[in-house]
Amino acid sequence: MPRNTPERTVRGWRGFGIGPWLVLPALVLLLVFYFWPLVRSLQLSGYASDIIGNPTRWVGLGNYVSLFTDPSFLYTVFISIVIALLGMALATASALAASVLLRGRLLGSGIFRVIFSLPFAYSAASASVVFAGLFAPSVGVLNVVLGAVGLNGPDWLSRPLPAIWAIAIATAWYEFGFSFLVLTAAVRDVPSEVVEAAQIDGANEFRLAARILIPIMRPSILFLVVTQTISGLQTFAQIQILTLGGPAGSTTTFVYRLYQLAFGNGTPDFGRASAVAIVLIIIVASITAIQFRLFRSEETA
Amino acid sequence: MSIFTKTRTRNTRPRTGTIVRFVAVLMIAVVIFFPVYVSFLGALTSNGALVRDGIFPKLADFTLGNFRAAATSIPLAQEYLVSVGVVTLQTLAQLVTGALAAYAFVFPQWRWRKLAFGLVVITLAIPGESIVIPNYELVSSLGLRNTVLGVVLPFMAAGYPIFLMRQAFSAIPREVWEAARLDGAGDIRALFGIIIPLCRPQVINAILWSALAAWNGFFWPLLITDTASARTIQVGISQLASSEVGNPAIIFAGAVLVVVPTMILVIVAQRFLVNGLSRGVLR
Amino acid sequence: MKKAVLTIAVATAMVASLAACTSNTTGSDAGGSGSAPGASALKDATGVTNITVWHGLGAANGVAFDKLISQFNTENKGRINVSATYQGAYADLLAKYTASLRSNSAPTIVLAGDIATGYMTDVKQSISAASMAKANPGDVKLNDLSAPARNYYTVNGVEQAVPMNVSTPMLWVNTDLLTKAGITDTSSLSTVDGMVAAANAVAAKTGQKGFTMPDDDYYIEQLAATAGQAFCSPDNGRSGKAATGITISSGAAKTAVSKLVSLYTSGVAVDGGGAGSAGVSAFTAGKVGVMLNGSGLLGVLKAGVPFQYEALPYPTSGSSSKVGPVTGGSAMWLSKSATKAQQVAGWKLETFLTSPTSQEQFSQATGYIPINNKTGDLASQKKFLATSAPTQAFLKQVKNTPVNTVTAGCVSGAMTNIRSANVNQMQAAFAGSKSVDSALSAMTASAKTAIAQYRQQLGQ
Repeated sequence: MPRNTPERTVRGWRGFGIGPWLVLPALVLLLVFYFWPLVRSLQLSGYASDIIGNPTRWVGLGNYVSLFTDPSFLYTVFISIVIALLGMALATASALAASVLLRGRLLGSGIFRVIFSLPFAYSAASASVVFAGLFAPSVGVLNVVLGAVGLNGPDWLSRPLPAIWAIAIATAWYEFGFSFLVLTAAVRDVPSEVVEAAQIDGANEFRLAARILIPIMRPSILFLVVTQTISGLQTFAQIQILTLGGPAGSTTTFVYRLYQLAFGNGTPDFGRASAVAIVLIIIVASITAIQFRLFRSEETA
Repeated sequence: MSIFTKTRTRNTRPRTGTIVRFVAVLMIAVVIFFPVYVSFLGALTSNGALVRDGIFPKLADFTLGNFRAAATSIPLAQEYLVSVGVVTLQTLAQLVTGALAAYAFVFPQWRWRKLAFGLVVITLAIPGESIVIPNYELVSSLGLRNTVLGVVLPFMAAGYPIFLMRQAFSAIPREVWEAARLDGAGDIRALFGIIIPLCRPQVINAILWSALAAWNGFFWPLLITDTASARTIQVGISQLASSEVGNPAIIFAGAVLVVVPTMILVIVAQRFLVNGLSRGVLR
Repeated sequence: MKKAVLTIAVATAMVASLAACTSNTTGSDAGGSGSAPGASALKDATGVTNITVWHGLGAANGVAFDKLISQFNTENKGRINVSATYQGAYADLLAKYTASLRSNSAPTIVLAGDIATGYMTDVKQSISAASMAKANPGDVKLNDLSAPARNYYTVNGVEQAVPMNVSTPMLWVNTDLLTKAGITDTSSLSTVDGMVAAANAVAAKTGQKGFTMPDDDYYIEQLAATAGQAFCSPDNGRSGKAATGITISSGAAKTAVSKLVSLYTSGVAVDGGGAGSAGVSAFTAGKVGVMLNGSGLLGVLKAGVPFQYEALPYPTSGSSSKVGPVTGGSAMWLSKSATKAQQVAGWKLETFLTSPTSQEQFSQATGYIPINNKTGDLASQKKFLATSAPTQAFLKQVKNTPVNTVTAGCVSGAMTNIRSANVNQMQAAFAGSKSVDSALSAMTASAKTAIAQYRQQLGQ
């Protein structure tokens, strides 16, 4: 009997075929390191903890209640969303502008493309370190430069509002690299006939971009919006390196709060930290679900 | 005929907006390049020179001493090697487990295939930074705290590469696969010999995503490592920033050392990266 | 259908994990719960005894510390080997240490930061310095060590840990800027009022900023101490009763803090940043007149700054005559769960590290003061002191500090929490978004909650 007819393939080991075995490594790893922690976080969030972090007695929703009656946690929810959206908006908008402007021929476009890809080489940590040098009060290079052109730079890291902007700017900067690459590819993929047709119809550059290019690039833009919002909600490195959650707790995002509760305050409270984690998971899961709904509609459109 | 041809050629349209375009691009480029410029210049000049002399420092202030200081302040070279090791291990693991899984989700028919894929999709909704506490307990109890394996283990499989590759594999006509099987290829040979080469751009996309995530990882390596023998360079850099308080030049030097290799990669491979993304990140 | 199966799977997993709920014990008593081991434990050990040390000494301080460690390793080759690791700033170090307790892999010695004292005592994972000294009379001579530092690490009458690096907070001044502002006699800055006046003068007359300090509650606590007021009540938790709250919103301490905050709201001061690095950069660039910082700043300044500087005593206030600041730094806590041989080996290391010659070497390379009083007898140290006015100032301040519950500093397991909560309020007051009064009362309220929460966690 020939070994490799499709029927024979299906009736392999115990009638399941090779499928489950191929999936097994990935599935086991995901179950152990994604699902189990999810369950365990849920469990831990219902317990109080002792001064070393071991769970002690069951408090049910007690940790959640203490979080949601704490104005600083409500602020954390608010500011995490704000920072995520702000960073994403800055990165996507500027990368969109850059990629659209560079479409077609332009003097030095090769060099510009390289420059715009540079932030991609930086991670959140290394970018934050660089921006620490830019934003530092009174010796920060950014304010020195702004002063040279007559502008008075704000106290970046010392006041709440500038600090929030500082985090958003640092985030947007290093995300710009990837966004630019994605959107440049998307611009490239716009069929040239469509562009030419619009140009023949008398469209100038601006209208061409707004009416033709951007709508066609929508899937890529949406992709960036969603992924950057999700990763923005998990901002940690920038906070750890630039503001330490301050000034006055104004930049304490979800993950930083989690870190403070679980590792930073001297006496770990894994119960409340897990509660913070669960809240974050719920928010991110909702956004991802919405993203999938959007994808479905994109594909059927 | 010739008149029509002329109107259809792009280049003859008057580019009145070209100068405006150029200026706009230039302005964005200056803003984007500025942090790179400052970090490199800050690393190459003595501490405070940038602030004193504005952004064009005197020649006398140039020095390589900051790099030496950064490399002695924390074991940058060792942590660099650790990061390379982490990226290699993690990317390889995610690629192999992901490709196998994606293949299994597309070609062989088996019971519970939909359920298994559903589980994978669900992990996409679980943010990595939020599940660190239980993972921390788990990895510590396995005795893998402060090891490279401990850094990599929770991420040896990831939902996104699986998802990407499944989408890519689905686009291949089933007949191609069946033909390969009829020719006598086993599943593994079919996967690595036929399927993956056909989806090279998306597979490269997945590899890039994995490598980037592994390289940029910060929170997890911070928690799970104690000593430089297993610390990644991202954690090292943040420790340099906290220990070299008062000397931003050294901190810039450390940042430059960390970024130069990936920067070279980006400059060299920039066109390649765009091509890789060009086939559609979503398809 | 998929969703239903998933729900069942998750529920099953939950039940399973609840059954397998792990609960860690806090480490076995391998080292003996009762008496401390004596010298014989090490003598009887075969082969090399390996011990680990975790610390929070970075940059130049770390280099100096590593040098001492390798000297010790050379001297004890074949018998004891020490591996020392920098774990980040004190907060990170403490987090790593706590994690190691959960997994029974604690280091032999941890140089825990000063405010961890309450926590380290409550966790009961260390063998007290007092009992080790008793069991090993030939080694660490506790009586030779600086009295204020010993006082800090004595809890409930028992000396818990041996101080290793002791810093004292100072008022660092840029004498060039002061002269420019018309201040030639720096003794006028010995009080808070004098310091404020000087800062204002610098800002008004030189165009540079007048004041900065790291956004660290530590300096606020010091203002309380030099006002003769215990930071925590009752009695900083040092008189048998545990601390229940902080006193910052009243008394001489409040007055001092209010004056400090006014420097920020008037624009005379520049924010030093949560980690202090911004303030230090500004000061070393010559852009600030005076700076509150630890004696450890000397290491940074010695590397070269473009101005003359001086280290002045921490400014005092209030009506008490004999006051002084609280010592800072870290102390060596010896693990209870290490083997007896390791504990004695660790004690030998502590002896070496606190010896006059080691402390001389360490202090000369950093801004820490030598904790061994006999260091001053060494000829080389006398020579060094003659060249380093700041070091003389450090030693003088510590010598003149009275030993009492005020200068002992607050002991409470919640101190780390209190400090980080207070920083938020400080920054709000500095930025002017909150009045000093409301910031201070918010500090008091959150400290009370933090302590209560800590006591609750402790009770379990």
